This record gives sequence, structure tokens and C-alpha cells, in this order.
Amino acid sequence: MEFEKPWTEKYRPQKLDDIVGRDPIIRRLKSYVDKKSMPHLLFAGPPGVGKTTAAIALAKEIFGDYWKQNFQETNASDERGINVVREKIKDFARTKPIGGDFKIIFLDESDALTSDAQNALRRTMEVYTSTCRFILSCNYSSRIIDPIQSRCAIFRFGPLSTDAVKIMIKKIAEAEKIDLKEDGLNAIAYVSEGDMRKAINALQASSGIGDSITESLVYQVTSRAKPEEIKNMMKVALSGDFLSARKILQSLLLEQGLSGEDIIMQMHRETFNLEVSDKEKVRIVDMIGEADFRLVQGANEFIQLEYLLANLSSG
Amino acid sequence: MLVEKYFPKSFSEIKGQQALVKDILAWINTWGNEKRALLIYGPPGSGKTTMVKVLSKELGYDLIELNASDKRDQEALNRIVGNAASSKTLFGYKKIILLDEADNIHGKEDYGGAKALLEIIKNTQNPIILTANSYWEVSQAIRDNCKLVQFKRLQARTVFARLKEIAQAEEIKVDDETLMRIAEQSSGDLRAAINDLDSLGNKIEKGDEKIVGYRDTEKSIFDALAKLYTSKSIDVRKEFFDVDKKPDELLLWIEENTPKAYNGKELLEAEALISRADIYLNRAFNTRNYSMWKYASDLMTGGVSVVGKGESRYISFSPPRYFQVLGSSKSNREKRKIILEKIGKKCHCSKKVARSYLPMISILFLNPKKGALISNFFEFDLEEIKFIDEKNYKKIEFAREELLKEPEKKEENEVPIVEFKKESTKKDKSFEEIKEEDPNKKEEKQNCQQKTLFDF
Repeated sequence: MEFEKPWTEKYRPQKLDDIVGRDPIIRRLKSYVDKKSMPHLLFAGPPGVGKTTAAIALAKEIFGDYWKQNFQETNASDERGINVVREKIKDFARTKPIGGDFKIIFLDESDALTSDAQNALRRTMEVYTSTCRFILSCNYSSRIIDPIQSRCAIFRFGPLSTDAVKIMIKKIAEAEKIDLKEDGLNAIAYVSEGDMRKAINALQASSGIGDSITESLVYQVTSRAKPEEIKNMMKVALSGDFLSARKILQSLLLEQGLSGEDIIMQMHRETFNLEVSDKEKVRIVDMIGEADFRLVQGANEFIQLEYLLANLSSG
Repeated sequence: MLVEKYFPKSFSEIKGQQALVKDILAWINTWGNEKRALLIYGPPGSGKTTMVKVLSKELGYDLIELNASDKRDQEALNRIVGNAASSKTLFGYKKIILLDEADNIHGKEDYGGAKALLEIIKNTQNPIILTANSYWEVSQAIRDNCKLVQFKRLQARTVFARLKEIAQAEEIKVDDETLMRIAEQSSGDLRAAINDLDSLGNKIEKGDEKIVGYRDTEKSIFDALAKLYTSKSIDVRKEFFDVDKKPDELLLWIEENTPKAYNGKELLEAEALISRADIYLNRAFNTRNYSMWKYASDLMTGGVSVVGKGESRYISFSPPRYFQVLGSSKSNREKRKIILEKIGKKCHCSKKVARSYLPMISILFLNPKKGALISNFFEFDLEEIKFIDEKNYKKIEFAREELLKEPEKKEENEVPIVEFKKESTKKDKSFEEIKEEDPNKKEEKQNCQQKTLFDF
């Protein structure tokens, strides 16, 4: 059957060397490939920063043709009980590796495992260590019990740099023969917040609507306002010029088609860059939060945001 | 792995804890006079299990081991441990029973385990040794029937000494300063330190230890709290970005400690902000709109900081007395779950992460052919396509059938089955319907764009 993959899969790096923006980590992982040996690993970091990609690429390079037989991927957030560890994981750990000294169990989102399950896991890790290594990935390493952290080499994956996101997006755009404009590329990098999955999905979504990818198309697709305009709107309001701020709001909501939630999200971000006192910032955060809540409850975006701007002006 | 290669083979090789060796030897040599079981408790990597293994080896005991990866309910304990414990020692065959991680025999899966263990301890004919990370998580009844030995965190210089020995034996190039930092950041966990050394390779440069060394302890929250109550700045919120506590848990930490740090007017103002933060948390939970957590975090950290006096003084912080775990939100409709499972399977991610593909997929659905191609990849059925895009699903289904037809065209002359013909007339009908809609296609595209985007 003919099909089209999501580009996150189509362009997922297959080799460690193809992973962008992770040089120090990749260097270490490659030393494991050279030695054909590795300790248990814990990859910690937010979504979309290369944890799964690194794990799969590492397995492919260590095991070569036998990687599928020697690599098991389990997602802990979908199966989180102690019985997963006592049955499924133990069963795989128990069987002999094929064509090598050990096999790898990749346990994604392992911070979703209950602490009972983690406690069972810690011993499984040690008992089968001669035939089996674990790569645990997690968003928050504090949710991994100390004894497991103690048994692992820990790698921190921070959000990807803007440059790394841009390199990858450019590469995909070339391969897909997409007309990607410079401002479109910058916009994708901005909205991605260092999350490659988000960036690639934004590119693929944009290409589904328009023939050339521009800043406004990207913002339309990801529906997030340009940061300068929101900051400007807040500054104007704080200067006491409510009417001008209101005009900017109208343009954002009605002409540019942004949603109230998007504007609120940006306003919150910009609050900490404003040149007002810390106490004032606290007040503003509280007001924005109140407006956000009312919007979520189904209040009128325009009236609520206007009220918020009026509050800023009278501060 | 270095941890295994350099596992101690005799008492003399065990680092730290030497003073305790005497106690333990005395207990085992006079076994039967005193408590029949020994509980060793202490932090990870302080050498508890190592000690027991070396002990049994040096004294020539058989070691019977049961740990948390085994099922430890009443039946299993009686079968394995009970048997060993009650069988009397024959001449020359001495046994030690090791029950690792005794703080981890738990309610549901290990039903009756704790009770069975107590009976076994009281009646055992052989020495039983239990290990635990936390004294408090072993039930009092069991503690009362054990001789207690506490293993302290190893000192950094002790860890350093062992690392140095290993580095020399393995010819790892590393300077003392870096080794000391690896030792320090292990917080007295020798196993962690050796693992860190192991994972850094044969040539370690200054600063490399930062790559592997980060292990969370409760320390970071204490540091952040100290800054919160003394700095009088909204920027304190940033100190909590790395604390890795969910805001509802963090709120309890702050609620617990604020009265220790503030009084009078500042306390009142701080409490007002904490209650505001709590309102935001509740709103977030009730509406399941967790993006609102950020306001709660800002108010409870930066906000509480700003109302303070900004005086620096020593405050002894403590963890919250209780922490209620969030009841996890109930699962979404079955159909959505299946869709997310299909996406997750193909994209190596959980259902939660799979959600982030939905906006992209729904945009591709605006173009029937692209929609059909991506649906084929995820193996969505008609119902699922309809769930994602109620408006365009027919077009996508049609495009999908077209895709199927293409290679079949060559075989058209061969054996046309009756049912197939029936189906194909149906298809033609839907083709008609779609053609009628065609002139409006462009406008419609503009309209449903927003709709599908915000559906998720």
C-alpha cells in the first residue's frame, strides 16, 4: 500500500553521526560503540530532543544487522505497573543475546513507572547485567528512584539549540523540495522551543497548506503571535495608552486570526522581560492567569483581553 | 563493567564502614544469643549488599538471596526463605539468608509478605540479613526483631581513594581534581561514582564529569528554598525550574516552610499568594488545563520571595508532611486512545507524545491525497479518519480507494467478482457527491483550517 510517513520518522537519524546538536553526548555514545560495551544509561530531558533517536541509533551501531533481535523498546507511560517489569522486561532480559555479548532494553518515559515497578527494575538491571543493558529515558530524572540513578550513567538532553533545529529543518526542506523562506525557517525554530518533533511537524503541517513556507504561514499553522507585537502591546498598555493597546489587540485577534489563548501564552512569556518592578510583574502574572482561566471557561476572548489591558494601563 | 570487575573480594577491600564489620562479625559469631535477624540500612551505594556478600564468602556460608525483582508474597517467602530458615544446619553447611530491599515488600503484589517475614524472622534456624535504604519504611514489628546496623553515606575522600585505585589499575588518564569532583558529586554513592568513571572512558578531561554526574537528590529543593526566602526577587522562580517537582508538590513544600521563614505582615502576604497559587492549581486540575500551572509556580516562588524582607538567615527546612498524589485523569474516549496508540507505535512514542502529531495530521487531511497517504501509514480505519476530520473523511476515504485502484488497473480485465462490482458502484456514487462540492473547495479549506487546528 502506498503511504507517506510523518517526516519525524522519514528523517529520523539512523546513525549517531547524523544527530545534530548533541556533540558531547554523541562522542560518549560512540565510545561505547568502539568498545562494543556500555553501562546502563539514563537519558533525561524534555520531549523531542533526541533521546529515542540516540537510543535506536546506538543499538543499530552496536549490533549492526542483529539490532532488531537485540533491542526491545517499551513505553513505560503506556504500561506502568510492576508486572511489566516482573514479566515483560524480565522475559526479554532473560533470553540470550544474538551475535553479541548483550542486548539492550530501551524503556521510554521510565519516570512514569510506579516506584514499586522501579524497585523491581533496579534488581532486574543487576541480575541480568551480563546479558542485558538498559537505556532508560525520562523527562524528569527526579522521578527515578535514587538506586536506579546510582546504577546508570546519566545523560542530560537539554532543549536543542536554534541552530541545530535549523540545520535539520533545512535538510528536510531540501529533500522534500520545499520552498522554505528564511523568515519561515526562523519562525519554525522559534515555535519549536528546542523540540525537534514540534519543528518537523510544523514544517510538514505548513507544507500541507502552502507552497512556500513563510513566517506568517508558520504562525498561522502553529497559531502563535509574533513576539514583538505582543510585547509592544503590553508596553503600550503599561504606558497608560489603553486605546492604542486595544487597537493592537484587535489586529491580532481579528486580522491575524490568533486565538486568545495564544496571546495569553505570549503575554505571560513577555512579562518577565518588561521593565517594571518585580512586584508589578507578580501582579501582572496574576492578572494574566485570571484572564487565561476565564478564557478556558469559555468567556469572550476580546472582552477578557480588553479587561486585562485596562488593568495593565491602570497599574 | 567496572562495578563488577572491582567488586570487593575480602573485608580488607571494602571501603569505609570498617568499624561496622566488627559489629556484624560479632553478631554472626554469637548468633542465636541475640536477635535472630540483622537489618542493615543506609543510602544506595554505601555497601550494604556488598558487605553481606563478602561476609558470606569470607566465613564460608552459603548465601540464599531473595530480592525485589522476585515475587515476595507470603507463599513465595515461606517456600524459599521459610524452607531455608527452618532447616537445621547440617555439619559444615552454614547458610545466610539475604533479603535485599526489605523496605520494598509491598502491599498489593506481595500480599501477606510482611507478616510472613515476621514469622520467619522469629523462628529462623539460620541468620537472616535484611537490607533497606530507609529505616522508616521497614515496619516497626520487623525492626523490633532485628539487630540494627546503620551504614552512613561514604565520605568523598573514601570514594576518591577507591576511584584512584581503579583508575590506576585500568590505566585511565585522569587528574586528581576531576576524580575528586566525580567522588563529590556521587554524594557518597560508590557504585554511582564507579559507574560515572566507567562511562567517561579511558581519557577523562577536566569538566567531563559534568556530562554524567547529575543525580537528583532532595538537596536541590533545599537550595532553591533558601534562595526563595532570602533574595526578595521574582527571578527566584528560575531557581525552581530545575527542581523537578510538580507545582502541587512544590506548593506543599512552600506551605510547610513559609511560616518558618516569615512572620507578621510578610507571612500574611505570602499566605495570600500561596492561596492564590492553590486556586490556580485547582483550576488547572478541574479544567485539566495544566498550562495554568505556571501562574501557580510564579506566585508561590517569585511571589512569596518578593513579599519577604530579603534578610539572609539560617532556616532549617523540612519536607511537607503529606503529599497527595494527583488522581490521574481518566482516559479519553476509546477511539482517541486507539488513534494515539497507532501513532505512538509508528513514531516510537507514548500516547501522550503522540497527541502532538494530531494538529499536523489534521492539516494534511485538508488535502485528500495527503490525508490518504498518511492514513495508510498509520493504518487508520474509516471510523478513525472520521474522528479526526468529520468534514473531509469521505474525500480521504475516496482518495484512499483511488490509491488502491491504481496498481489494480492493469488487472481490470481479469475475473471481476460480483461483489467487487457492487462496491465500485457505491464508490462512483460518493465520487459524484464529492464532485458537487468541488467548486466550494477553496473556501471550505480556509474555514476548516482553524476548526481542525483547535479541535485538539
